[in-house]
Amino acid sequence: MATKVDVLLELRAPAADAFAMHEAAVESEREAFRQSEQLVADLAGFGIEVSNEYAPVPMFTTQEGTFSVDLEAFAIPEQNADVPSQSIVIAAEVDRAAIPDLQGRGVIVWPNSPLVLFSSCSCAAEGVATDDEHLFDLAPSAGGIDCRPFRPAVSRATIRALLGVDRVWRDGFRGQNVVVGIIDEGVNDTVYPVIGGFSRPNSPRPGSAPITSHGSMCAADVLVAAPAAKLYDYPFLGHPNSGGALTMFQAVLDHRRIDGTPHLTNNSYGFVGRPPKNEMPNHEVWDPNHPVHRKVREVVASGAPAFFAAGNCGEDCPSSKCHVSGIGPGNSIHASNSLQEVITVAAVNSRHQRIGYSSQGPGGFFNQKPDIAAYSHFFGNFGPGRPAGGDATSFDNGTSAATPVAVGVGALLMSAFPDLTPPRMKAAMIQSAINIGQPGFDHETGFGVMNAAVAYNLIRNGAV
Amino acid sequence: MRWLVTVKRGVDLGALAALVESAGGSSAAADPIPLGDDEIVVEIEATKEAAQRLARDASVISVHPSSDYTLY
Repeated sequence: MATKVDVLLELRAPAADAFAMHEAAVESEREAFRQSEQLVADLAGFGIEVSNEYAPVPMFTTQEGTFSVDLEAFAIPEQNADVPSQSIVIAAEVDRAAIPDLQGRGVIVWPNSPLVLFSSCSCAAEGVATDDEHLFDLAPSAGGIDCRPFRPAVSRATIRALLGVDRVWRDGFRGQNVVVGIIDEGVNDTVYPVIGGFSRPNSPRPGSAPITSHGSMCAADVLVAAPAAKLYDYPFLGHPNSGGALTMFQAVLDHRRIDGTPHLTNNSYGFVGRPPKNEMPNHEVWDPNHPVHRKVREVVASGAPAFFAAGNCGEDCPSSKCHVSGIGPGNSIHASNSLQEVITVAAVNSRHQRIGYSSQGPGGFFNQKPDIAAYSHFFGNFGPGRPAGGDATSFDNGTSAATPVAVGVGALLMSAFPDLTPPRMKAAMIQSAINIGQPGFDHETGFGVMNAAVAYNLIRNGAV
Repeated sequence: MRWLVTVKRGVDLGALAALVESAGGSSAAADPIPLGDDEIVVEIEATKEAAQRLARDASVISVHPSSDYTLY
């Protein structure tokens, strides 16, 4: 049985009044069919079935690309009532086997390929702006809250566009010469650029964590803004606890003493509840002089900004891990995550909606927390085609993901301004933040959503 | 339960370990961590009561809990 295929047949059939002929075919399906049939009348036996859906289209260029008429002059209708065509293209179905013979008769056979309408994809839902929109247009300044079921995750390209990293990249800064210390459960170095970290006998070497590790997610998310940054892996010693954090921060100081690296640290962990103060007054949540807090202050004082996740115990849709004592405004940002010296990061989606689990200030130690918001819910380490895999329901999430996005912007700025101090970096991020929700500072998203392009310009122009 | 014990730098760590044991606790394997210019921190395992006893010793500056974190 012959296989029919959809094709476009280009026939050498000059028509003196090509535009008029086409206009008539457009107005009448019968005329379109008649013209098409007439054009293939000499090609009987090739199994051509012309389509009456499409009017024959006159062509004014040769295959070599030269114009058969002066098209610029034709744009002035009174001077060019009509012009002859070079050839005419019709849509048809033909027997696949007949195509070589048709070509032998001087007919040019083009595939008539199906097209995908871009507007019918789910791009809008995924936060992709159209040609007429900027991504910010999809992110109303009124803010809002994203709770379960969450809005679909977006691509890294969307996050990069929202952050405005192109402005900084264009000047040649992509995070090169900057090392980020990731204090977490470990990073996978087969995918991510781990160049050192904490190591000791009988402990896993830096970079040996599985690709699905929480630390690997953080690594992926640092590289969103700063793809040329390098990483130090500071894995907690087994279970993440205060003693492990103290050891890791000391390792950071040890490294900085040697060569000034790492330049920044990422800290996507904390507590999900608060013990009773009368029972444990010297717990990290209550005592600002806990050794871990003092060590964090030492790291920041050494010139390395410390970014901490706000936490996932916001009142609107807290993580199931949260204890009731640690949920909601005033209860959910505490311990080192609430120190004045650190940069505390809340989470928003690509529509500038606060993600409902993002913890809310005031902070336990410093009232004005969180400091800023950064993006979460995107395909970084997890998701289709990403290193850790998964389907569209798997994506980088939590304030854990937002924090390394902010760190990546910090790395980008340090790449451009190596002498940037932690207070100046924080000031630049705060001043450049895109305010959402209430005007000015609020305890939901701090001073707003961070923006690399604006922060870069502020520092570059000496405004910070 | 784990605790972080802060003492003056230069304290005899052997004597400190003995003190921890006499209070009913045990020292963790981790190295002492320097804190500021003149203090160090040692991680130990002990009951709350033992930690309170240790905190009363003249050679101990402070005893803080070492608590478990959650990855956000």
